This record gives sequence, structure tokens and C-alpha cells, in this order.
Amino acid sequence: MESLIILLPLALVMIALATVVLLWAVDDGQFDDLDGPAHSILFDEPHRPAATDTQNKNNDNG
Amino acid sequence: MSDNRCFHCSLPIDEPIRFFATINGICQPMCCPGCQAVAEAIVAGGLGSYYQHRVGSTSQQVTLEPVEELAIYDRADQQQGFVHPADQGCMVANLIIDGITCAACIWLLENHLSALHGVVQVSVNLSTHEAEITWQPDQLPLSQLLLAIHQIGYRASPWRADQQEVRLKQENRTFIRRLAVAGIGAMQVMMYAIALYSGAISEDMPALHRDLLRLFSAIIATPVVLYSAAPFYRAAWRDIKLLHPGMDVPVAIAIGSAYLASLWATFFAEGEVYYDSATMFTFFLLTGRYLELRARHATIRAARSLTGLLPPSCLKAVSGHFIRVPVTDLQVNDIVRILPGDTIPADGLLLQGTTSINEAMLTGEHLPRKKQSGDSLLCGTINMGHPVEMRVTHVTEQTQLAGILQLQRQAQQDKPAIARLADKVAGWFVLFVLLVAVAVYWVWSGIAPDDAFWITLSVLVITCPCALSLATPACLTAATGYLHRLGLLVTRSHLLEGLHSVHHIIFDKTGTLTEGNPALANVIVINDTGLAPQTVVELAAGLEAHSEHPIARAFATPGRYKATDVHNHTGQGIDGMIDGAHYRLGRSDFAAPGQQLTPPDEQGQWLLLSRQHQPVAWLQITDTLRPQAVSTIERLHRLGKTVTLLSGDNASAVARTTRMLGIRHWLAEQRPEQKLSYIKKMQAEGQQVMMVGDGINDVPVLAGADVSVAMGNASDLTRTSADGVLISGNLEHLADALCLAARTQRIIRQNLLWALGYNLTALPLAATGMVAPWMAAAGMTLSSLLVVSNALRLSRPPAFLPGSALWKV
Repeated sequence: MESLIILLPLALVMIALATVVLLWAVDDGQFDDLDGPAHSILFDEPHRPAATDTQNKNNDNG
Repeated sequence: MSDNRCFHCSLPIDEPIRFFATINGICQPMCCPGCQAVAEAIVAGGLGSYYQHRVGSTSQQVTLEPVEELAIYDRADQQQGFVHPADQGCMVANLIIDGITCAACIWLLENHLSALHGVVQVSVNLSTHEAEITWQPDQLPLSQLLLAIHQIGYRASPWRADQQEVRLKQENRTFIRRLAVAGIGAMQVMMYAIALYSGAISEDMPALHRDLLRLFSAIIATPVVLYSAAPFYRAAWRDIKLLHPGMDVPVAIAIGSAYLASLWATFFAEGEVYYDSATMFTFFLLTGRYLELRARHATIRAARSLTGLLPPSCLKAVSGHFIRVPVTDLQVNDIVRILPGDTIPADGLLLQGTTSINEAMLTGEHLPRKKQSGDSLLCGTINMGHPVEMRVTHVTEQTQLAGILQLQRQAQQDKPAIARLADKVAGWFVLFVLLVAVAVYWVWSGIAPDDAFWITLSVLVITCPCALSLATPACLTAATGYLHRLGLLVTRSHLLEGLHSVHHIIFDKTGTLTEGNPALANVIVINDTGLAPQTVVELAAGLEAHSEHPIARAFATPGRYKATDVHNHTGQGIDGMIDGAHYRLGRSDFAAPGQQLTPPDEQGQWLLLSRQHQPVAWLQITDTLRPQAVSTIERLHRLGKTVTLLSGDNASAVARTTRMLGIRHWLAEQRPEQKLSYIKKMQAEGQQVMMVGDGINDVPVLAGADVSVAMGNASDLTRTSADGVLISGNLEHLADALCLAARTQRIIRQNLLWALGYNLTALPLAATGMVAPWMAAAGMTLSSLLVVSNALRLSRPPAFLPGSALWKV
């Protein structure tokens, strides 16, 4: 059970990291709109020739 | 009524259907050219799948704003405040977009705009309706961007973030931070707690391990208790200072004492730790508060669209010429030209000519009102007739519109508070617990002075009012969710508790009890013509098929007659040739010029049909009742409520409606301030008043009533002033909501009884030191679970049907 001495501080570091990441996400504005992004992934990208053209151009340049 | 509905906005369409749009390969009916144009623009952009993804219907598009009105935003001085430069010559515009109803709208807007040449990035926020658009101004003027938004049926206005908005955003972020800290902390502490509990039950955990787990629990629980739970302490301290203890006081005491007792146990190795209870409790309560905060923010934000009521620019006379200026530049005594379809930018006097003005927004009267030179024109109303000129008499804050908003703000402040049952109980409970705690300390310090402090703390922890403080919010959340599914959106949390105690229900007429659309009510054939009423209607329908006027919607019958050579005369009527004869339909002096004819009745609006200038028949246009109006009023009467109709419409129209609905009390020609004073009078007599309305003219009353509900088709401003919005437009759901409110109140009582019962049983056991900590924890969880599952019964539809005896609660 001596492993506790290592595991407990390790858990503490991990939840500290998780909290820091979450707080960063909050400051980054990722929680400002809780409804929109949840739905937006369900929509298909529209078929748009214009968009494909720009992409091709970018590819050519790259 | 026909079953045809507009594919775009879902409003019913009358036969014959004249507008169509091809969407995803299928020809769909449209109600008006506005919807048709919007639907075609959406399809042309390759975004037709919007119609598969949208939730509910889209708002109707009647007018499309002219390009030149938006062109004002291309001027650099008008872009100040909402357009900022970005990298690589790009600009960022912050807009607020009106008309967003669901996530499909966001998708539509983002895809439609990003397809434009010159647009770099678009992001639209569904909760706040703010759009941030990055674009290259040298390739695309801002007005084209705004126009593109208008083309797909939304209204965009500049969004200059004010201090309040910054504060709301900050508040939202802080709350999520607290929630995150509490959630992560509670999970971790709970894991340690399981180890501690199993160690305590099997009694073979080494003291070193136990102390180590306790120490780490303490480290993790500290930010939760000190940071996440801070709002509870602040609210509790405010309550104590005001000598008016609410639910926050026992909550703060419970969290604080559990934490302090645990710290004591951790560092002096005596007693038990309660870190898990303290953190879990904090997390659960914060979650409830957060949902409340979001609902509150949503209503505050809706109020911002007020600016959308006014046009961005208008035509002002400058040394003989009319030039387009921003409305904010207008001064008293300026001369302004108002084109047909324009919104009037300020209060003023009509200088010359005649026109008809739609004042529906201010008065609720849906038929246009005729104006002559010298008559006053009100800011926010719409010119339906000719181009006219007016002299500005009042601008911005002095206009009648601003006056109504001022009235609304005052009414909101004076609104009587609905006392919350839980808060009343909490006040007594906290007093009782504190007295018991003092008594326990006093008794135990006589028996065993060393244990007194610890036992007192355990009493405070055991009486932790978890279940008590969850009793009401859990019920309200469940009932609110159920109402939402019915189509009644609760925007202020006191709606349900208020509905229960309402005695008096006040309705507005136009748009609330009626559809707000004109319909043909009566045909009186003038004696010597010998035409059948049916033929008269068909002749009229033949003419009106060529008209875009709202009245044309009243003629639903498919026309046997085809009119040719048709001319619209704005504010007068319509004329054309049918079967070789010249017909005119409209005002009597237009249809039969030179003859002084009076309508058969004072009520409603009468149109005259004439053939070769000889009068043929009178046609009466009125507003149709909503289909559920009669049954709803009857149900409300059966529930023992008083129903009153307060309308801005004229007395004869109101009397007719009340006769049809069986409403005994009514007042006509009421101005907003009169409506408000009526409600104040009722409240002074000790009645709790509920207001149901839809117009801007109802705004002060909605704000002042104890409980208020706005119809789903109401403007954003009206919705903001109300406690709930009837999105479905089905009046029956109001009566359902009243029944549900009664059920909710009953279940809240059951919950409070159980929670108090549990706490009062546990109290003597704890005071005598007979409760093991794990038993206390299990009991606490169990009582909370019981309260929550009892509340969840409200989220299910009732097992009995509307109209059955059980509904009469």
C-alpha cells in the first residue's frame, strides 16, 4: 500500500492539469455558446464548387 | 380553414396558392413573395438541407429591406464601434442577428455568408445571436454582407458591446469556472471517500492511510469550498444583513460547517470527515444555479433587439434635397421623407398628403390607420401608403416608443415579488437548527465538555438541508422541461409558482385570442343588384388575387373569375375588368365616387364592391379567433379563474369577440398606461393577475403583472417582458400549464415534508451521538434521491387526458 505515497500526489497533479485545461477552455470562449456547436457537427457540408476552387488554389500554391 | 401551410414559415395559406419555390427538387407552397424570395435565395446558395435540419418554423418574411437603407453602413463614421480592423487588411464586424430560432439557422448563416467572395470567416453564436464576420472590405462592401443576411430572411443590426454585455459574459465564464472546479473536485473527493468508507466499515484501514486520504481530500476540497461555493456565502451574508434568511443561509452553514468539521477531524484525528458531502452538495447546487443564470441571461439578451425596431437610416431634407442620413443624426424640426414600406424613424407631424400607417406595433390594431396632413406619426410604425414628408417633433428618448419602454422598466421594478415556499420554510428551518445547535452545545458542555464542539458540528452537518434545498428546484426544473415540450417556454423561474396562485387572467385581443390576420366575416348584397353573396365573394377574390395587401389574405375562396387590367390604389382599393365590366373594391368613396354611402354596421372594416361605379355589395373584414380560444376560455372559467379582455381596439370589435368567447369582463380602447393602471388596481385589491399578450403595447402590462405570458409570434421585446412565451401558439396549453402548476405545488409540498421529516428524525439521533458517519451519508443521499425522483414525476405527461375530471385540480 506504500504506492499510495506516489499515487495520491500523482492524482493531485492530474486533476490540477485537468482543471487548468478546463479553465483555459473557458477563457478561450469555448463555453460561450453551448448549443450551436453541438448541432453543427450533424449538418453536412454543403456542396460548393467555389469552396473547392479555393482549396485547389491553396494546394497548388503549397 | 385550409390545411395548406407555407413551407418556409409554416403560416397557413389560403387557396389559391400563388407563390411556390422549388426546394430539394419538390415544388413547395409559399405564403408570400417575401418567403418565396428567402427560400429561393437559400436554395440558390446550395443550402436547401437547412429545411431538413431546422427545428420548428422560421419567422415570416414580409418585407425585404431596400439596399440603399443598408448602404449607410458603408460609411466609415457609421461603422464606428462595431467594425474593427484585423490582420491582412481584413475587417471584423460584430452584428446582432434577429430571427435565429435553432441550430440550423446558424448553419445556414455561416454557410451562406462564407460562400460570398471576400468573406474570410463567419461565426454565429446560437445562445447570444451575435455574429462575428471577418471580411475584406476592398472586395465586398459591408452593405452587401448585411443584404446577404437579409436575403435569407434574417435581420442584422450593428452590435456595439456595452458594459452590461461585458458583465454578462464575465458572469457566465466565472460561473463555468466555479462549476468546473466543483465538478472535478467532487469527483476526486468522492473516490477517496469510497476508500475511506470501506475502511471504516471493515475497520482494518491503517491510521496512516486514513490520514493520508483525508489530507488529500482536504487539499482538493479546499478550492471547491472556498472558490466554487463563494456565491452561497455572499448571498447568505446579504440575507443575514437584511435579517431575511433564505435558502442560502442553511446552504452556507451546511457547506461551511461540514468543511470546518472535516478540517478539524483531519488535523486533530478525532471525529469524521465530510469532504464528499460538502463538495457534491456544492456541485449539485451550482448546477441548478447555472441553469437559472442561463435562462436569465437569455431574457436580458433578447431585450437588445430594441434597436431593430428602428430603421438604420432615413431620408432627410437638406437644402431642398433628400439625402440618406443615420437616424441618430435626426433633430427636432427636421423634414423627413418616408417611402411606402418604411418604418417611421421618429415621432412627427405629417406635412402634406395622405397615407395609411400600420400602428399595430404600438396599438395592437392590425388594420392600417388613415393619416392626413397635420396628423401625428409615431416612431416605429410603418407607412403602408404613399411617400409622405413629416416634420420631426420628438427624437430617440422623447418618442412614444421610448415612453412605453420606460413604462415597462418601471413596471418591472414595481412587480410584486412572489414569495417562494422554500425560502419561507428555510427561514424557519435555519432558526430552528441554530437554536438546536446552541442547545446541544450547552447540554453537552455540561456532560462532556471535550466532545461538545464535535457533537454540535455533527448536528449541523447531519441537518444539512440537501434534500430541503433540492426539493423546490428539482420540481421546477422537471415541470419547466415538461412545459417546454408543450410549447410554453419559461423565461423566469417564478412563473410556475406564480401560476398556481393566479386568480385573474387578462388577455389582449388582437394576435393573442385572435390570429391577427384579417378574414372575411360578412357579405351584404345591396338590394337592387340581385347577385348571390357567393358570387360577390368570388368577384372580390378575382380582384384581390392581384393584391399584396394584408386584406387580400381574407379572400380564401378560389376565384371563378379572372380579373384583367387590375390596378392597386394604395389606401383606396383595387379595380379591374371582369367579364367586360369594370369592378372596384375598396373604400366606399373609391368604389362609388360621388355617392355618400355609409356601411351597414359600425363594427369591423367594410369594403364596398361596385360594378360600373354602381354599388353592388358590402364585405366585412374582421380578425378570426384562434381555434382553441373558445375552449380555453371555458376551461379557465371552469378552473374558477376570472377572465378579462383588455384591448386597444374599438369597443364594437371587442364586444363582438367577447360575445363569441363568453368573456364577461372587458375594456376597449385601452392605452398601455390604462392597461397598466387596471392591473395595478386589481393588484391593490389583493388579486394575483396573469397577463397574456403579444404587442409592444402590452409590454408595460406584461412587465407589471404578477405572471405574464407572451405569444410566440410576439416581438422580442414583448417576449422579454414576459415570464413565459407560448411558442406553440396553442392557447389550450395555458390551461394545461395552470393544472401543471397546481400539481407542481403539490409535489413541492410532498418533497418539503419528506426533507424536513428526514432532517428532524436525524437530528435527535445525531444530537445523542447515535449515528455512524456512513449511515448519515447514506441517509442524506437517499433522501436527496427520493426528492429528485418524486420531482421527476412532473416531467412525464400526466396519465389522464385533458378534459377528464382529474384535470380539474
